[in-house]
Amino acid sequence: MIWPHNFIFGAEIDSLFNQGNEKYSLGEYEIAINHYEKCLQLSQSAALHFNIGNAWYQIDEVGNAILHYEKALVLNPGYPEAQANLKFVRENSDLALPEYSLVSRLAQALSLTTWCWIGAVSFWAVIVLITLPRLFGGGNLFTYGGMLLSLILSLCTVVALYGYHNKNNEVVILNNDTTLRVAPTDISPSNAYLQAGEMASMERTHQKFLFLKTAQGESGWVLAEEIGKIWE
Amino acid sequence: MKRTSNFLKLISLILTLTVSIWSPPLLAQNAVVYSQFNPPVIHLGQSSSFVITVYGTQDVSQETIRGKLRSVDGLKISNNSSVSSEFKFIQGKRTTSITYSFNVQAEREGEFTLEAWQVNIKGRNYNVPAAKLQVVPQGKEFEKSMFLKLDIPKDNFYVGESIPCHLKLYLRRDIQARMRAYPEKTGDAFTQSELRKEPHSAQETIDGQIYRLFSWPLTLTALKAGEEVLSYKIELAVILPNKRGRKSPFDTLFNDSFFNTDSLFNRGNFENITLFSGDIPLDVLDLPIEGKPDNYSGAIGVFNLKTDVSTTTVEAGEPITLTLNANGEGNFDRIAAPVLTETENFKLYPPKTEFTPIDDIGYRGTKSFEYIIIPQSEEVTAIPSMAFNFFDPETGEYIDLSTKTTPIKVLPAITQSPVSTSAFIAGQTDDSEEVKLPPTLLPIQLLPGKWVNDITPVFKKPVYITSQLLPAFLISIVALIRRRQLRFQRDEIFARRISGSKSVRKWLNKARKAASGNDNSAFFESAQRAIQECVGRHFPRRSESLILAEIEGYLTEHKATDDLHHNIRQFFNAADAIKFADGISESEPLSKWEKTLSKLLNDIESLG
Repeated sequence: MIWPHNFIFGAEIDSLFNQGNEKYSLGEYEIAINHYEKCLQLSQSAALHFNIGNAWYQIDEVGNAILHYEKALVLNPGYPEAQANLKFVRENSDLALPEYSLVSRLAQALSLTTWCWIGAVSFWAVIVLITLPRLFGGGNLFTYGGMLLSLILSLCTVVALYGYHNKNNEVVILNNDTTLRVAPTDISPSNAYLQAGEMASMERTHQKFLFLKTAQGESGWVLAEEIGKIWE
Repeated sequence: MKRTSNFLKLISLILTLTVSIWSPPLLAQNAVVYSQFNPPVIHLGQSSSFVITVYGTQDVSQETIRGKLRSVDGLKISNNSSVSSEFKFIQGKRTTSITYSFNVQAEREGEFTLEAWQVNIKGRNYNVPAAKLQVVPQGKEFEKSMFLKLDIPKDNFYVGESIPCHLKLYLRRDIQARMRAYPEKTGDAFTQSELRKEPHSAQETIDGQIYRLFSWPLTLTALKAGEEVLSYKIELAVILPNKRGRKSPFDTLFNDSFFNTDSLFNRGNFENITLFSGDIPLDVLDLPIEGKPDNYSGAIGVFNLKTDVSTTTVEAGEPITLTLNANGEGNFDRIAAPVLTETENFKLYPPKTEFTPIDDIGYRGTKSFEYIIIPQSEEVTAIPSMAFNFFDPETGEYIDLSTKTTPIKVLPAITQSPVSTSAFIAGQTDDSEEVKLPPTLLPIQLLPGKWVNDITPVFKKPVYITSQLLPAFLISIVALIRRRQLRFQRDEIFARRISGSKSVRKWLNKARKAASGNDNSAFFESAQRAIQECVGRHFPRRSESLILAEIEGYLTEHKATDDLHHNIRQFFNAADAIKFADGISESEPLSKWEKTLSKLLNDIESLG
């Protein structure tokens, strides 16, 4: 009884995806986005976010385009098309290319799931390689080599998870001239203005406002509806 | 006499001054406020000042005054003012005053009134009287010295048509000027191309006068039909030639007229002015309905179209690049991409569009549309025509330049995988870590890939957390077993205790089996061995070699009861009797002996 349900679900979402592609090819980008968004209500995939990003870009919604390319890269960090289009959109929109730290680059080399499993396996490998030689007597070069390798992998995982933790707080500005407010109120004076597609780090929230910090060091409050969370 | 009179006058003046200085000044409650435009009449493009003078106090801030100033349609009043304060004696009385002067520029001709309002000084409201400014057209002399002009080749054109024009600023050779702001268009019925930052400059002689000419090429595009008016203005800072030297500082800068060359050109002063091109009436026509193609591209001008196909022989599913180049002159920014007349059996991607201008303003050049089209089956024999047309404003007709069908040969597909640019990108990324920038947005993905229902990080999922228990459990088990093994090897008493317990259970079971089989010999032998094993765990030697005396010694040492001594003795005697005397006297059934044995073994266990 489970199989037919899954089958129908898969058929429906694939059909919506294809309809979105068809409308995109005809230049009806907003209708394409509607179809893609319906897919998103059922499930998501890196390719779906990639196509949504393309459709948003075609109607000059740079903020939403960048948000969906980033989401595609969350699902599939080594997605070359998403990386290429993200770079293209940023350059074409005069947005600064984000400078990724070593930690961030290490994190994005693999998916979070992959890092988690690498971390688990390497951690238990370290435990085994420490415990067993004590129980069965002595270790050899293979044991120590394996222990060192596992330790390095465990440390890499910790660093990568820290990178993902930072990425978890990253948001994309959706609209041009988004006001960076001094205080979390509607009538607060502005600190600066942010452009669509700019990246910022979310530090805390207060009611409907979020406190953001940009790579340039500017900080202030924006309305929650003015940003898109990458990891959502 | 005259000397005495002069002396008395001097004394009188000194006394008056002394008294005046020490008399209290006019207080705020006696303050008076005046306002006026200075000069009250200016020519369009000339600046005036709105001057507010408060007599009786100097304790009035600019914010107090500026915050109350009302805006007047057509007048641009600056936010900042120049301030001057005065200290005067009038009829022997000391008075103070402060004057704020705001620069004012008129955007059009006419009479402007700044209505009266109230200003609060030290808690009391004072009336500021209304002031009037009259702005009259520029004079001929002024117009001769500098003027702004839009050169437009015709005065009627079509909606959407781009017209190449030149905006020209003429400055007579003796005028020095600096541009304060780029020329600004007035008239929302038109859009214009971006102006060059640096205008072309040249010299031109008009009516025997030499002018420096600054020219901005641009295109104008009409947005709506009808009789529309267009004008331009430019803000300049002009340094006028000085022939007479400095004027008196009490003369206002704005009292002079541009008509008056003596006053205008002989001051040597710096002045901000605004030049206007004047209204340019233009007749904008709607595009004719007659003959308008259904798929009209929006192009207006004169164009040629060239097509280029990357290949004419492909496999089904393989992409073909079709390039259309529209060159000529016209509104390139409004040309929509030509459309394929038939799309059946083709997969078509939005084209990459590129415009290469050959002039400054994008009026002449080539616009190319690069299509990726993918024939889906080998039944396709030709690329269908592409519809392209334009409107020629000179002839007033629509011209059709649709392409012809291009024959192609489509072979059956060898590979079944969908066409993707992944390989292209992946190929590039193999060689270098950095992703190469594609020339345009990469097309959408045809396949959705793996669907993901939940992006909760895996470390928060129960399956991940639970799975960590498995290695922890396995490692613990292995460690425990191994530690027990090691203790077994190293600790003899421990090993004997563990193996003794097993042996006791083994011999007890044998005894029970023998009892159930009513086998006296086997029962007592097994019972004796069970007792030996039970006590023997505490002796560092083999348990079967223990004799009754040693066992009793152990029991005595551990303060066993007499009953226990007695029972053990009975078992050993019975066993010896069977072994050496071939039997025991029948006394009690074996089942009772068995119960006694179990209790006996438990009692020995409890000793240790």
